[in-house]
Amino acid sequence: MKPRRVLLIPLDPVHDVGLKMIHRHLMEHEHQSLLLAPDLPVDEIVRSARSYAPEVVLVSRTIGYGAGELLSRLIDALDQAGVRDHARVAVGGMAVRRELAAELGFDAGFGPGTTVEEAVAYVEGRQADNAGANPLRERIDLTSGHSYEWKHTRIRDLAAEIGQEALDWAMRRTSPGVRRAHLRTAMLDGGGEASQEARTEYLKLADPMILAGYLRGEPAPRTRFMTREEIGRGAADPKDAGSGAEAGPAEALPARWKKPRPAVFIQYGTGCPLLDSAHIKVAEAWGADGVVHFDPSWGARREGFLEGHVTHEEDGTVITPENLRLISASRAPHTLWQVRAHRGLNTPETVVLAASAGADLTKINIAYGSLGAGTDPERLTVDGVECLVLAAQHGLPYDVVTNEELCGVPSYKAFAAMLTVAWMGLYLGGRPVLQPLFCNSPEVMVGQQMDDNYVDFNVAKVIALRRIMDAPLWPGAPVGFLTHTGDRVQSATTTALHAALASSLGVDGVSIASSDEAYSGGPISAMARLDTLRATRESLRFFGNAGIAPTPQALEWAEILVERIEQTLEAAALRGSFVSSLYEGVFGSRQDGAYPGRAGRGTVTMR
Amino acid sequence: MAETDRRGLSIGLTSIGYDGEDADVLTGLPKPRIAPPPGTLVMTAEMCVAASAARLRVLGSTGATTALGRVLLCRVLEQGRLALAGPNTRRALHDALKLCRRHPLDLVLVDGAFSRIAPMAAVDVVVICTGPSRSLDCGELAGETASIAGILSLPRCPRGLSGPQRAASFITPEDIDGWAPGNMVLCSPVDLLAAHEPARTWASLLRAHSRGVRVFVRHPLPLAAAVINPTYPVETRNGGFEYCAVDSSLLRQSVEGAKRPVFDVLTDGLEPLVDAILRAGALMERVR
Repeated sequence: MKPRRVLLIPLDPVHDVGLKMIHRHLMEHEHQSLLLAPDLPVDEIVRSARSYAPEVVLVSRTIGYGAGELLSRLIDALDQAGVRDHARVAVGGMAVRRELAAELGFDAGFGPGTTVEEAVAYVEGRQADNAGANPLRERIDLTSGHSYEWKHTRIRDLAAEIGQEALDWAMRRTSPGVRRAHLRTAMLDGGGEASQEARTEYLKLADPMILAGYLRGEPAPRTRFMTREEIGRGAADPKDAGSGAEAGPAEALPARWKKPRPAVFIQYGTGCPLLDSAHIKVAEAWGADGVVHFDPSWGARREGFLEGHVTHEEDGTVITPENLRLISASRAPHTLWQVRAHRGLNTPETVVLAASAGADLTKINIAYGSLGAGTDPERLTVDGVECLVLAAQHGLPYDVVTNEELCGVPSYKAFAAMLTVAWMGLYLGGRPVLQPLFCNSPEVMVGQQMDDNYVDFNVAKVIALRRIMDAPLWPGAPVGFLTHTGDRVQSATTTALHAALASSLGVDGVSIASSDEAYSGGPISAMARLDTLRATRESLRFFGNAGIAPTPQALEWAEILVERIEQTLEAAALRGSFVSSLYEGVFGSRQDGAYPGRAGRGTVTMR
Repeated sequence: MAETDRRGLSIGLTSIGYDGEDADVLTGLPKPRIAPPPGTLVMTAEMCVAASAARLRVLGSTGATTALGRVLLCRVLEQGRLALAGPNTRRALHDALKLCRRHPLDLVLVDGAFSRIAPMAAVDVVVICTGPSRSLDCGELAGETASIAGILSLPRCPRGLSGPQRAASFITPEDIDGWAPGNMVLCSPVDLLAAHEPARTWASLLRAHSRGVRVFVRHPLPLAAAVINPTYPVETRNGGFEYCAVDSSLLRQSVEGAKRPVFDVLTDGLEPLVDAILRAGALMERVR
C-alpha cells in the first residue's frame, strides 16, 4: 500500500474527534498525515495546504450553521491555490450527503456513521472492507439452533394424543381447498395437457366471483387488472424514485444491533403489488430482515384464487401467482418473505403458491383461523393438516400464531392449541415456529397483568413456552399490539421497546408494525415504517447484549401458564376430538370471545 | 434551453455543483427540473446518468470525478428529467470544455453552484443572477453587482506589455492594497472573485488604480448580462423554508447600470437574454 500524504482540516471550533481518529489510524498505517488545529481561518488553511502539498485532503464540519458558505469558500480557495490540481478533497460531517458534497464541489462526501475504515479506504483509493455485503445481512433461518425437544413430557404426550387424533380424522377427509391445492400444483407445472385439465377441474371448484375472472376477465369488486405498461416499468424502478442519485441511508444496516437475531419483520399489503415492492425496498433499506404479505380478508372467503396482476383499491394485496412473483422479484437476496396460510378457504393452495413464488415462510394455525378468523373448524382442520403436509413437502417453515388472544381467548388456551398444531407439524416432518403475542390483550386488560409494566407477562409467555419445548420463537403480531395510540412518537416508542424485549429474550424473530398501522385502519405510509424501523434500531442499539430485567412476577405467571396449558390439553384429550374441542370452546369459548367460523361449513367430505 | 431550442441552436450543458434534484439540498425547496431537449450534449456524473429519466447515449468520460462518480459526456436521445453534477474544479472544467469543443456546438451552458466561483475561470462569458436571496438590501445588491461587473470588465493583457508583475491566484483586498504602482497581470478575474468579497475587492482595485496600478488579465471573462430573481427563501416557524418575492422593477432599477443589461426572465422573456449571451460569446470568439 503506497503511503499517502494527507491533510486533515477540522473546520469546527472543537469537533475534531473524527479527524483525530482518522489521523491516528493513518499514522499507524505509515501514511503521512498533517492534522491542522480546529477553526483556522481559510487563508491560513490554504497557506498550509499549499506548502504541505497533500495528495488527499479531508475536511470535517459538524456544525450546520454557515457550513455551506464556509465549505464553498474553502473549496474555491483550494482550487485557486492550485491544491485541487494535485489532491482529492473530501468532506465529512453530520449534515453531509453525497448530493451536498457534489453541490459544494467536493470529490467525495461522508455522512454521519462513516467509519474510520471508510475514510482510510478513500485515502488509499480503494473500497472500504465493510462496503458491499454486510455480514449481518444474510438470510436468517429462524429454526436453526433449535432441537424441537419437548421438555415437558406430560404436555408432549397430551399434544401427541390430541394431535394424532386430529391427523387421523383429517387424513380421512378432503375439501375443495385440498383438491384445489393439488390442482394448482398441476397447473403450475407447465402448459401441457395435464395442466389444462387441472385448470378445468379447478374452475369447477371455484367461487362464481373467481370464475368470472377466469372466464370473462371480470375483475373482482374493487380490483382491476394492471396494464402491461404498469408492469413493464417494473418493481422498484430507480427512475421512479426521482432524479436523485440514491435512495435510503448510506449505511443500509439491519435493525438488529450486532446480534444475529431476532429477524425484524414488517407487514406489507397496500393493495398494489408495485407499491408493495416500493414499500419492501424502503423497509429493507431501513433495516427490515423480513416482510409479511397481507392479503384482503375477502380473498380468504372465496373458494379459489384469481390469476394475473391484480391491484386492489383497499388494503391487502390480492394473492395471485403473478402478484406473488412480482413482489418476490423485488426482494433483496437476504430478505425473508412470508406468505400466510392461516385462515380461510384457500390455505393449502396458498402454501403451494407461496412455495412456487419462492417464499421463505408461511403461517398456519388451525385454532386461530377457525376461532378468530371466521373459517369453519372442520374445514380448517382438514385444510390445515394439508397445509402442514405441503409445508413440510416444500421445506417451508411456518409460524403458528395465537391471534385468537386478541379476541379475548386467554393465552394458556391459545398456547395449548398452538402446541398441538406444532406437534402435528413436527410429526409430519415440518418446522413450526411458535408465535406468542406480545400484546395488551383483552385477557390482561381484564386480569390487569400489564397494569404495572408490559414486560412481565410477555416474559412469562416466553419462559412458559421454553419450559415446554425447545422451539424457535417469533413474537408478533405485531408486537405491542393494543399499546399503540395515534401519536406517532408513542407508537414508534412502544413498538421499539417491545422489540427490545424480544431481543433481550433472545428470540428468533419479531414482527413490528409501522407507527400508523395499529390505529389507522387504512393505508400504511412509508414514513410510518421508517418511524418504527428507526426507533427499533435505536432501542436495539441501546440494549445491545444487555437486557431487560423482569420482576419475579414473570416467573410466577410462567408457572401458572404451564399448569393451565396442561389443564386445557387434558380437557381436549378427554373430549377425544380436536375438531369438537374447537367447536365446544376448549381452546377458546364464546365467553372468551372466540366464535367458531362459518366459512366453508359443510364442504368437508370423506376421501 | 427553451429559447436556444426554439432558435435551433445546439447546446452543451453541465453544472459545477448539483442541479436538477427535486428539492434543494440546503433549503429543501423545489428546484427547477432539468429536461434538456434531444440532441443536447450533457456532462454529468455516473450516478446521475444511472438515475436519469432522459434516455442518454454515453459518448465517453470527461476525466473529471465528483462525489457522485465520474463525469460522463452524453448526448440526450429522448427528453426526460435528469440531474447535473459536472466538473467541479477549474482544471477539470477546462479539460471537459475542451472535449466539448470537438463537437459542433453553438453554446455550452455551465450552471453555477452555491457560493463557488473558482471553476468559472474556464468559461468564456458569465451571466450573474442576483436578487433578495443574496441580500434584502437593494443598495447592497446594486453595489455588489456593480463591483462584480467592474471586476469582470478588467481588460485583456496586451501583447508585449512592459514589466508586468504577476499576481497570485488567490487575492484578497488586503493583497491589492499592497500592490505597487505599475502593470499587474492576473490570470483571470476569477482570481479576484474567489475571496468572496467583491465590494471590498473592487474598492481596493479603484484605490490601486488611483495609485497608478494598472491591472490586466490574461484570460478575460466578460459579463454578458445580469439576471434578477426577485424570489427568496424564508425560514418558516417550523424550521422549513418557503418562497417570498420583492418588487421586480425596483430591484431592476437598483441593479441596472451603464453597459450592463439586466433581465428579469419572467417579464422580459428569454430572447433578450440569449441575444446578450450570444453577442458576448461572439465577441470572445473574435478576440480569441
